[in-house]
Parts: sequence; C-alpha cells; structure tokens
Amino acid sequence: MTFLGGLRIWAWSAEYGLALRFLAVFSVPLMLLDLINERRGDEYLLETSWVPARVAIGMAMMAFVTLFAANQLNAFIYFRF
Amino acid sequence: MFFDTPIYIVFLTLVVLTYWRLGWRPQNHLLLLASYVFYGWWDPRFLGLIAASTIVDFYCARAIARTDDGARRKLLLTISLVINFGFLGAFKYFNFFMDSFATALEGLGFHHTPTAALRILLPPGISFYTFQEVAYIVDVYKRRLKPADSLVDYALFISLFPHLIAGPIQRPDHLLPQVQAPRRFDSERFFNGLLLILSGLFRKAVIADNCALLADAAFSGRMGPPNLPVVLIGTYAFAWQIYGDFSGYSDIARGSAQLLGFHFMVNFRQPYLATSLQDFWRRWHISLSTWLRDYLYIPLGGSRDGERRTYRNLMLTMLLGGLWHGANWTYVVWGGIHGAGLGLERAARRVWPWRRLTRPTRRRRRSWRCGRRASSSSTSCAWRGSSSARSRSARQ
Repeated sequence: MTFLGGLRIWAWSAEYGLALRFLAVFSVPLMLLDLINERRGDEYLLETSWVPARVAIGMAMMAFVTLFAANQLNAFIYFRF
Repeated sequence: MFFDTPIYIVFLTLVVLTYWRLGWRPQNHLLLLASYVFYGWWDPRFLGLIAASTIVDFYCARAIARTDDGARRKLLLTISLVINFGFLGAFKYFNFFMDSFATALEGLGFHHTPTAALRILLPPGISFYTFQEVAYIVDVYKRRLKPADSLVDYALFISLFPHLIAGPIQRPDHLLPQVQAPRRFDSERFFNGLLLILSGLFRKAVIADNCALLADAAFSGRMGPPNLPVVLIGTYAFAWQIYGDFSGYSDIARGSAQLLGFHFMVNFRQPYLATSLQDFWRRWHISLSTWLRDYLYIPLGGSRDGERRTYRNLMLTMLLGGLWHGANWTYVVWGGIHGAGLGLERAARRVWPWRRLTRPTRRRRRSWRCGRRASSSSTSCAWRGSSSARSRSARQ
C-alpha cells in the first residue's frame, strides 16, 4: 500500500526515461507477438505459416535468447505454487 | 531442475531420444521413471507424498466405479478428497494458518506463542497435481470418466514431467486417453514442439527476466522512493514479467509434451488484450480458471440460483483461487479484488449493453479499447498487490 501510495507523488529524473525505454524494448515485442497471434488466431507465432518462415522464426528466437537473455536468472514464479 | 537450465535440456534430450526407440508400454514406464526422477531432483523426500496420493486416488476411483451404492460412492469420494486436500492443507497452508493464529493471539495480548516450533516445506507442484487428482476422482464419481485400468497409466497422467511442477493443469478426459493409447511420431508436431520451447525460452529469458530487473529495482527502492513514474514502471514491468514468465513456462511445458507425442491444453491466449475481467480470465491461466469454473463455481450453483448467489459464488471462487495462488493474505485480497471486479462487471452488464464489446464493430471500437485498457490496468495493479508476497518468498 505504501508503494501504491506513491501514485500521488510526481517526480521525474532522467533515470526514469531510461527505465521506460528499457521496459518498452522488452514489453513491446511480446505485445506485438500477441497482436499478431490474436489477428491470425494462432497459438504461437506463424503457427500456420509455411515451414521456412517457422524455421526463420525459430532461429531468430534462438538468437534473441542467446544475445538478449537477462544476465540474472529468476526462478519461474509459478514454481512456488 | 528448472526448464530454462542446461540440465533440463540434457534431461529432455535423453528422454526423447530413448522414448521414441521404445514401444508403447515401455514408453509409459520410461516416462513414469523420468517423471519421478524429475520430481525427486527437487527434493526426493516428496516422492512418497505424490506416490501415496496417486495410489489412494487410483484405488478409490476403481472402488467408486465398481459400486452402485450411492452412500459408499460418496464415502469413497470423501475419503479421497479429504486425503488430497488434507495433504495440500497440511503442506501448503499449515505455516500460514499457524502464523495467522499467532498474529491473532498477539492481537489479543498473548505473547510467546510456539509458532516457530514446526515449519513445513512446500512440496513443488502440490497445488497443481492435487487439482488434477481431484478432477479425476470427481469425474469418475460423476460417471463422466472411466477409471484407469493401470496404475502406471494413472501415475503417469498425474506425474508426466512437463506439467508436473506448474501445470498446465491437465483434464483427465484430455490427457488420460493419450496416456492409454500408443503415440505416433509426427515430424510436424515434433518441429512445432521445438518452436514452442524456443518461444517459451524467449518469453522467459528475454522478456520476463529483463522486466524482472526493472520490477525488482522499483519494488526494492533502488529507483528511489515511490512516486508516480516509479510505481507505474514497477507495476507494468511486473505485469510483463509475470506474463512472460508463466506463459513462457507453459510454452516450454507444452513444447516438451509435444516432443513426446502428447498434446496439452493452451494456457494463455493473449490475456492483456482482454476487453474485460471476465475475458481476461478466459485468456489467463486457462487451465486453472476452467478448473475453478467446473469444479468449484458450477458445483456451488454457478449463475443458476439468482443474482445474489451468483455474486457470492463468483466471490468465493476468486477468494479460493487467490488462496490457491499462495498461502498469504495478500493473495486472498488479490482474489477478492478480482471477485469484486467480476461482480461489478456483471452488475454493469445488466445496466449497460457491454455484452457485445468483445466483438468490436466500428461504432463500438472506442469503448472496446477503453475496456481493454481498463482491464489490463486493473489486472496490473492487482498483480502489484500480490507481488509483495511473491518478492518476499522469492528472496527467501
């Protein structure tokens, strides 16, 4: 509640702009994936596309995981349930 | 053995390579052994617990199916439910109830209560496999399902490693027949399984773990004292973290199952594009929300007994759903927020024609977008409410 109480206070620093950009970089791709899946009715990206497209997507995801995975691993949240 | 660690990749590769060289029955034996190894990797002490509850349910279900005596069937069902929920209550909620009891006593002026004398460890996945066992015994009792003939098949249905620790909670009528029939290798499905695993790793390691850095910084005060930007950044980062984390986990689980020729139900369907809270729960953790609907909300009466009872049933379902998520009052409050939200939405639908908003026409697109924004914002705030407990348990 103390944390949510901060909603009443306005303050700005350059660090927040950086944090917002960081958040956008990592949340917009997932939002785009969802929008594409929603529009196409797919369960996952390009589920119903031809094989080479899916291979390309797979390779791209592998590259993303290799290059952009966070340097700090977190346990899966739902493992605690 | 986490899904995003090299040891799991090695484990899965070895299992898959051996599995497809065997016939159907040996495949089931291998998978059961692998699943128990996977579970024992966390803590071998809990193997006895899952084995015991599996055996009890297997024989209770067979005994239920063999008799037409209503009282005996009810007694057997009760025994099974008491054992299942007894295990869950003892291992998951004992500490919570003891701590709450101690706090209440302290509030009344009694001190030095012996709460720390016994602390019980939480067996991994107990909430998930208990729900699966309960679904099985209830379905057999209601004659919706024939009980399994083989203990190995039933034990594999309960413990199949891709879903064992954190779901998706599999329905007996969906997974059990797959366990009981030979699986055929299908290169297309195998390839799709690999893609699902990659998609899950991307969601977990790239999206969720990076958003976690931001959420942790905001919640721990490393971004400074809470103010509007910090709260919003922390809340939305956590909302994306939890979505990427759990949908990633579900993708890896479903992909791993697909490599073994099984099909698991979809667990997430673009939840942050929901246009209402009700729509959100049709898209988020679908295996849990449909379980709660079929085994709790509908048996309580659902929406059959008038509006007042419907609101009560909605609230009870969400409160218990909240408590299922964690043994902490913050989760109960989180369930209450969702229950109240669903109730308000239901009431609003009676006044305004929101019913059609899930299908946007040109005229209604604006209000549909508002609904989408409102539902994603309210769920994000509710996540924040429950996240303090999560953060604490993570640190522990």
